[in-house]
Amino acid sequence: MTKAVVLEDVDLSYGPRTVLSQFSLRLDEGSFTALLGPNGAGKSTIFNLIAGLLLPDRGDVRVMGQSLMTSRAGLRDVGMVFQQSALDIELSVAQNLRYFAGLHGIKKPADRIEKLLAQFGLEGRERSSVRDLNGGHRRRLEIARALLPSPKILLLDEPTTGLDPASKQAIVDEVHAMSAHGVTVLWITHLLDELWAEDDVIVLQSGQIASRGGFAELGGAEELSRHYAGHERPQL
Amino acid sequence: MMTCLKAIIIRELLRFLHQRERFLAALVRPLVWLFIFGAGFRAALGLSIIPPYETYIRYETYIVPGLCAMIVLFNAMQSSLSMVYDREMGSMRLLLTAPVPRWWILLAKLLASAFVSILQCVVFLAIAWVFDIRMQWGGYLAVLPALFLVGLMLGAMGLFLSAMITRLQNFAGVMNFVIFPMFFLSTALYPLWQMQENAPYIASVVVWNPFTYAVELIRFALYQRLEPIALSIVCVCTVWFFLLSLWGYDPTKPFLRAKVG
Repeated sequence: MTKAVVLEDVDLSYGPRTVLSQFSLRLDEGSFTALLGPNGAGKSTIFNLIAGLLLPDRGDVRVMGQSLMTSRAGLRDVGMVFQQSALDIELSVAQNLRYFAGLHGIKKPADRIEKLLAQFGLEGRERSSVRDLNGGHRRRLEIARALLPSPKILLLDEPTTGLDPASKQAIVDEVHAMSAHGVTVLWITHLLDELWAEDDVIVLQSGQIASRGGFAELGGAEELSRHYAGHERPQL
Repeated sequence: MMTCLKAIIIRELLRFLHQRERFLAALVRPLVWLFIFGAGFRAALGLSIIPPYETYIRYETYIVPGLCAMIVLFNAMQSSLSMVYDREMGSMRLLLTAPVPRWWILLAKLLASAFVSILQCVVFLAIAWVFDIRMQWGGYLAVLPALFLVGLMLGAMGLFLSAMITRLQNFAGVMNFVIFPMFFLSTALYPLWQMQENAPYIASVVVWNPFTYAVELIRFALYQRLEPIALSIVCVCTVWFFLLSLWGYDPTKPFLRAKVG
C-alpha cells in the first residue's frame, strides 16, 4: 500500500533536549492512526514535522511521496487542526476561510466554503466575527478550515477540545467516515473514547514508539489508559 | 503563489481596516508632531537652503518626509508586533504551513505591510495639503515608490525583530531601543548640518542610521529628485534585513523550534 506519510530516521532536538532520535513512522493511505502518549512524549513535534512547521536535524519527512526537506508542495495535500486555535479573531468566519483558501492557492473557494459551513452547522454565521463565536463553534470552524483544500492527509491535535459531547461525537464520526473514503488521518488525543476498535494506535513514550497495533489488539481503552495514555496518577 | 500573496495582502488590509484605533493612532502621532511640535520648533530652529530645497522652507515642510518615514516605521513595528501576537495566539501556524516557500510567505508579509504604510502616508500627506503644507503634484507621485522601498526596508527589519522576540511583553523594549533611537537619531526632525555644528557626536551616529537614508530618500522623492546614496543604502539594508528574517524564520533554527514546537 502507498505511504501517505513517511518519517525516516528523524533526529530532532530543542537545543540540548533531544525529542526524537532515529524516529521512523509510516502511515498508509486512507488509514486512521491515533497517536497517544503522555505529555512531552513528542506527539506535537511529530505533528509539526508533518505539517512542515519544523524540519528535522537529520532524516527525511515525506508527504504523499514528496520530501518536505526540499519542497513544501506536499503540504497542499495536508489539512491541519492545531491544538491551539489558529483562527484570526480580527476577521469574520468567511474571511478566515477565504484567507486560508488563498494561502493554499484555491482560486474560487465560495462554493466549497458554503458547503463546509453547512456541514459544520455554521451556515448563516459567515459574517460573524470569530471573536464572537463560542469555543465549540470556533473548533468546528477550525475543522472546516482544515477540510477546505480537500486534503488527502488530515492532522488533528486534540481536535475535540472544548466541544460538547454531541458535537464531539459528530466530529469523531465525520473524520472516521473521511478516513473510510481514503483520507489519511493522524489523530492526536488523550481521549480514548474517540477511538474505534479498528483504528491503528501508536503509543509514544519519550520520543519512541512504545506500542503499535489495532485499538482492540492493544487492549482497548481500559488497558491503554492504565499503561500508556498519561492517565496514571502522576507522582507529585 | 500569487493567490497566496493576494490572500496575505487582503488579510493585512482587512485587519488594518478592522482596527480603526490603529489607523487613528497612525495618523494622530505624526499630526501631533506636525502641528504642535512643528509650531514650537519653527521658532527655535533656523533652516538654511539645503538640497533638495531651492528656497527657504517652513519647519513643518521640512519635517513632512521624516513624519512619513515615522508612519512607515511605526507601521512596520506594528506589523512585527502582530507577527509576535499571531505566533503567541497560534494563527501564525497557518501562514507557516502554507504550501509555498517560506521566503515567499515572508516577502508577501513585507509587501502587505508596505502597502498599508503607503495608505497611511497618503492620508497624512492629504491632511498636510489641506493645512497648506504642500509639495508639487509630481512629488506626490514620485514619493510612492520611495515610500514603498522604505516600507520594505523597515518591514524587513520588523520581520527580523519579530523572529528574535520571544514574548509579546518584550516588545516594549523594541519601542525604547529601536523605534525611538532610530527616529530621533536621524534627519527626520533636524538637518544633519545642524547636528554636525551643535552635537558632532550625535551627527556621527545619524550618518550610520539607515533610517536617516529612508528619510532622505522620501525627502528627495517629494521634490522629484533621486538621492542615489540614500537609494543604495535603503536597498542594501532591505536585502540585508530580509536575509536576516529568512534566517530567523528558518524551521531548522532551535529558537524558532522552541516557539512553534
